[in-house]
Amino acid sequence: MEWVEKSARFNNLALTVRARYRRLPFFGEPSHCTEIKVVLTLDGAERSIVRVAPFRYPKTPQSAEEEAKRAVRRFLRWLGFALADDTPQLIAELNAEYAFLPTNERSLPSLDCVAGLGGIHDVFEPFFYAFAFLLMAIQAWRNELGAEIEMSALRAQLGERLLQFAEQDADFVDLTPKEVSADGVSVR
Amino acid sequence: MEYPCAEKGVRFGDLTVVVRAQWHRWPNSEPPGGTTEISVTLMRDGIDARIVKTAPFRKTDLPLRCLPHEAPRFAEAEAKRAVNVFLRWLGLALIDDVWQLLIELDDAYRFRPIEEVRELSSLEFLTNLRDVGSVMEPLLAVLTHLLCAIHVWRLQTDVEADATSMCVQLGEQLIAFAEQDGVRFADFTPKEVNANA
Repeated sequence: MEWVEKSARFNNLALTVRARYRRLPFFGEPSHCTEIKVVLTLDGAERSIVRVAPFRYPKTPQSAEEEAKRAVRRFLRWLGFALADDTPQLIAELNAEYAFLPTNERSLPSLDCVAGLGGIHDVFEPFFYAFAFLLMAIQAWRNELGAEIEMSALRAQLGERLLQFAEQDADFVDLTPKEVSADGVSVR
Repeated sequence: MEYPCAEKGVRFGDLTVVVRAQWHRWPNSEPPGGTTEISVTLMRDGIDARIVKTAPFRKTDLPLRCLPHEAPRFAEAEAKRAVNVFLRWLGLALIDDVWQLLIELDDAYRFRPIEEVRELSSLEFLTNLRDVGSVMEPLLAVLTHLLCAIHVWRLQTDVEADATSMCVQLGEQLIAFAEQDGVRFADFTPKEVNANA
């Protein structure tokens, strides 16, 4: 199937998150994988950074497109929580997807724990690139603007907007703040 | 400069596992530091090819009081520690003691925030979780191969021994082996089967 994608922009950074669901060839049993791809492009740069990773190995989903959309939304949500520095929520969501921590309600064989942590490692490569580039773009934008905007408040605001965008049907969002308050400490 | 590596080998049935670690110094780093790399080699009797998985184990600074000529000793101790810790985690995973495994992984990589004790920013959390994830690849490879080797041994010997208790026994042997100094190889293939098998 084709890639499903959503894009976000922050200042001079364009971030595209793509996902596709596909059946893996050469397996006796039907086997499936949802792949995630991150494309990072800085304005004026000739090349983009592209990172691809397996997102998860689902059982046959009802719709390949829905599965791919879910992966893109999930990935953007995690980015939103990371930006907002909401670590507990990020852990809860990663654990729901990769089941690497036992909970009071769910015991976990150590094989699942080890495999879950390994699965997270795979998806973290594109995730880390996207997160690090967003942080750099935010810092660069603050420096260019010379504004005294508090970083944690700005990150929380952007994280919130990414979370909203993840749930929307829209394919693109520009996260660059359009207005800076007169005292230069907050944005809209 | 190449520092000495540490190595321990384990055998079960037709599977041989070699765990090796080596500390590499980063060039021109200040303070002087390096990465301990862990690698596992999986070999099956009669098969030419082998599986090799390598991962960074942990990053360490040289101790402040470490003189240049003492660096190889530090590197060797660090490598030995990595091999023993890896074997211990493998043992805990085989025993299925997931809580103890998580506690030890968390001690090493600090990827779980603890309320009012260890606050983690999302960047720290993500970095640390990624680090623990990278060492899981060789761990998962050895774990799954050992589980397969146990099942293969049961089928080949036609013994009705319970696979879970065999895993626990092997896990305990691995934990004990990890604590032994000076022993570099152990064969954990069961030598005797009791009368009721």
